[in-house]
Amino acid sequence: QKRARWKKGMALSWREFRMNTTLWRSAFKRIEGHFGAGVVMYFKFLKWMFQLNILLFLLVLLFLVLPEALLTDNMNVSSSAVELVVDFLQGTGWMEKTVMFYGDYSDQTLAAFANWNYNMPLANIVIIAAIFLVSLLVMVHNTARGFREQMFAQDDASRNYGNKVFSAWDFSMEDPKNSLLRQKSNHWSFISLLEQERYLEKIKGRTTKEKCKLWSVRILINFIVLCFLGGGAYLIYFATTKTTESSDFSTYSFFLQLLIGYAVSLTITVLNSTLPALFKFLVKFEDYSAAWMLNMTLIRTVFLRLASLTMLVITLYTEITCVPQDSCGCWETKVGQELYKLVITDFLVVVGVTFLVEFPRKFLVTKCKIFKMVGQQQFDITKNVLDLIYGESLLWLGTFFCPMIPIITVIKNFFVFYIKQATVLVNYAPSQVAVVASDAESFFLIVLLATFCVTAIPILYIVFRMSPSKSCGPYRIYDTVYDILPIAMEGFPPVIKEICDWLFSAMILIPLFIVLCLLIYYKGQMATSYKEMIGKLREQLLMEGHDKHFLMKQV
Amino acid sequence: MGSGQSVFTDDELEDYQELTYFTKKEILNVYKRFAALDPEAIAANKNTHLPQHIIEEIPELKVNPFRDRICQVFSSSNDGDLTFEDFLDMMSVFSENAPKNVKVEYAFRIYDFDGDDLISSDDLKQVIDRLTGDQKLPEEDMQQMIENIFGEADLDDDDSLSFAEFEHVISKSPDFVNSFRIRL
Repeated sequence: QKRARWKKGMALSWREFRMNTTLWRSAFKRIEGHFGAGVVMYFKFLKWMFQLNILLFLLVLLFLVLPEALLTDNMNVSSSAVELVVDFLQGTGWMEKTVMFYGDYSDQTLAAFANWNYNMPLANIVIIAAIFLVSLLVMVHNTARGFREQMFAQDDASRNYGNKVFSAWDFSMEDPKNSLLRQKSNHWSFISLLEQERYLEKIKGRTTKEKCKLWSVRILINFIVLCFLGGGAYLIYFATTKTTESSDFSTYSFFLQLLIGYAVSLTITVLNSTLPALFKFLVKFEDYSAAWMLNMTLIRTVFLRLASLTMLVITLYTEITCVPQDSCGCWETKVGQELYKLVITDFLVVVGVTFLVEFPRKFLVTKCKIFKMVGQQQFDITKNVLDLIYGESLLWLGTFFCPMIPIITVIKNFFVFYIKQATVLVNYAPSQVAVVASDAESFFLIVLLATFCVTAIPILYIVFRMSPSKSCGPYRIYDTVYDILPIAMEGFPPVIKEICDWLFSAMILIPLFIVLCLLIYYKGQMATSYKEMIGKLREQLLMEGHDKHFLMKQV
Repeated sequence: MGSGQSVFTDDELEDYQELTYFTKKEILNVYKRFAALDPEAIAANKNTHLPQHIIEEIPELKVNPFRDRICQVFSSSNDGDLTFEDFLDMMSVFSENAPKNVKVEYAFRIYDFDGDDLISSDDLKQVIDRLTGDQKLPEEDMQQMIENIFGEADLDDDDSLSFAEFEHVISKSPDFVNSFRIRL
């Protein structure tokens, strides 16, 4: 008994320790008090991502950046101040020759201490693999947890009346203005719940003619969306080729140089911020249910963002690789620079929108009568979470080309948290529509997971199939990045070599893959059968109830 | 913290820690919040009853449409007045560390307005009315809501929810635990 007590004491003090050290705890309480659980979810997501990125950042820092910086010496910063700034923002000039970018990394085994050697090319590929693996593990872990919770929830959470009513009040709320709004939003959500029920009834009653009309509208709209995506892709292609074609801008002014350098990232950012608004407008004509409307817009937006990134990488690759391999520059570094610029633009947009749009708007709306009509801004959780996911996809895509991106992302995440917290508390009015936290959370994780898979494809392709630049980077002497592995293994003791050979052979990988697929299938089947079971038990319970009533009457 | 420390003996704190989901430090924090409601009365006697209208001054309760129910459910004298121990009990149930089944139990009692251990359609009507505040649902919609809730949860068709049925409904409500919570 003493032991159990001691154990409990330990658990308690561990909790106390964690409570004191938990990051941004008071911020969560403040936000939750004002806005309820929905908006807090965004900040929790941001925090979760921040923690993941710190892990990735440490990996990169300890195993790539520091060894490279310490064991080689090639810093030569000698430019004018203006050039320094331009180069910093564009990742060119002196930046290009630092540990920032792929091109600078050594293809040698570096001599560290005494007998210790550091195989830079090997470390590079292992760390890239580790980054993807760590991210995947963390995500899968969280998604699985989300799914487990959802399994208990009803199939269609939007029609779960018990949840809507008995979880409607957020007991942590403490702001009177907000609580009135919450009552309004409850009212609205109950009514829309009933509307939804009627909408489903309406779908059942649709005539064939109406169906035909609806489907043709949907097909037309999807076609329009595709056109816009194609147009966007062409715009990115156009901007990229134009800026890489004529490479001598040194005669231009400082500002113009910067503008040209940022043309591609600005194009992408503008596309990313304007097209979703259009999608949101178009989806209204498609007559989906409210939840589907949101999902469709989301899927299209995610697709847009990924397509624009993929387009960028493809264009850069086709632009820069040229026939005599040594004559052209280092395309990996070019890609790295573009992605670096995208990360910077992404951050600057957050800062810019906050300080140039949101704060002035709040000021105008509260101070001037004319602007009252515009109304206060509401926090759009989905859009903000998508921005976070986009930042993460830049990280996955970019770390290979620009190992400093995780470090920049961590710094970015950190500042974004405080900027968003400030703007949310100062500028935003609580939303009229309460967001169902549990639904959205697992949905966002799935979007993140899908994004991860899509960004992994180009990286895998580069590692296994594409030939690296011959003039730079850790893999300049190899035909593909992957070739390093067998060569590096030569140096290992034969036992390890054999184990690795065995592990990577098709003999093992293919059966492993098949077993995994079977396992997933099996688990999926189990899940459906449990669901059926629950349904059956429920029916039985109902029958029992009727029996009871019947018997009571008899008595 | 120094002044709070002397209010309770180590044994008392130890007991409170055993009986709630709080650590000693959190218990002292709860005490601080409680004492701040009426410092003079608490200074005179720390086991005094604070009347319901004073308890309702806590910011989270002040805006809560169920504040009177919460006070009544946690009041050991059943009149809505709380002693410190009642208050600690309340904060403990609403804390992050309280398990779901404990929260469900108290939620049931809060929503059971007439105290007959059943959530009847009148109880549900009150719950929904309080949730929507000034803007009332039209009678027709209200009936539809209640009907839908019973259709989903009332397994034995007696037009009211027993505790077991309520528990069952909550087990399918993923948002309940997050909403039934007051951060210290």
